[in-house]
Amino acid sequence: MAELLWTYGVVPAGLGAPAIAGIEDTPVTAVCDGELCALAGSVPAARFSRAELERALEDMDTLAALARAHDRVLEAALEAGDVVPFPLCTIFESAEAIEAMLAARHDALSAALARVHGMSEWGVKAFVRPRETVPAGRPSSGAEYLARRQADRDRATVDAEQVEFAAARAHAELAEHARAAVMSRLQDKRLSRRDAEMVLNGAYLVPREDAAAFAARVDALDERISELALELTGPWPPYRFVAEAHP
Amino acid sequence: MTVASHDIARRREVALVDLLDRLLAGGVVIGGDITLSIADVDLVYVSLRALITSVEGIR
Repeated sequence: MAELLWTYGVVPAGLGAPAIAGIEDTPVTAVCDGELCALAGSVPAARFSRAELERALEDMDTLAALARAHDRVLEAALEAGDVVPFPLCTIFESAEAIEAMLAARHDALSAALARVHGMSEWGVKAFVRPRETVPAGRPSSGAEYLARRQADRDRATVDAEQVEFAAARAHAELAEHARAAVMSRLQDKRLSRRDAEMVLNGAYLVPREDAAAFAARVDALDERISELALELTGPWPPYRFVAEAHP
Repeated sequence: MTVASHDIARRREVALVDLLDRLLAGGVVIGGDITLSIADVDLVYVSLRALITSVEGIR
């Protein structure tokens, strides 16, 4: 049966492939060219063809299983050392095609590996913290009702500005204590599964030995910035800091 | 590996939405001299639609 090679990412030669099952529970192997090794695993061509993948990715369970397996291998690679993660569904026809990619992308991959050396990625999401509302009595007149409505609107505008400023301040402070930082697109409420509005979806590249200090800083910011509730995720493989090295 | 990285091992189960947010943001890549290409598929859209459907299904 024809096979394709699902590629997880690139590690420095010498680290080898993590002893962990990847996509479809197949073993992960290292395909190397010089000092760069791609972590790859065989997948059946019949089910990983373009048409089959397109259909498979529409199915949430399949997409989730692929994403989890991809992440599991990269997490194991991160535990062993440094890794440049590739996006989901980076698939090659043969080991030779991977070697050619490693040679062609050598400089970008080496630069990315150097940049993420000793680092992991942390995610920080900020949500608007709901303010306690003071219950108001029944308005005594139509005019008072309208005045209250206007005051609510004015307050909402000020709040939005305050919250935006608070999110920018949180990001700036976290970025100051990271080697690199990016702000990603905010997650839709339907995806974040939170009632509160997301106002920051940041990622921070942090030296592994500074992880505890970074987590403490997030907790402190969460305490200090009353407008926001912060949520820390990680450590992640440096997904958001290697895009320019992708094949 | 440092002690700290052990201590701060993933604090909680990784939420699928955060994972896909990272894995799909750059789209899907099929590289090298490969005959497959799904680069022209708006996977982010496809996936988010699937994701929204599944999340709504859970509620």
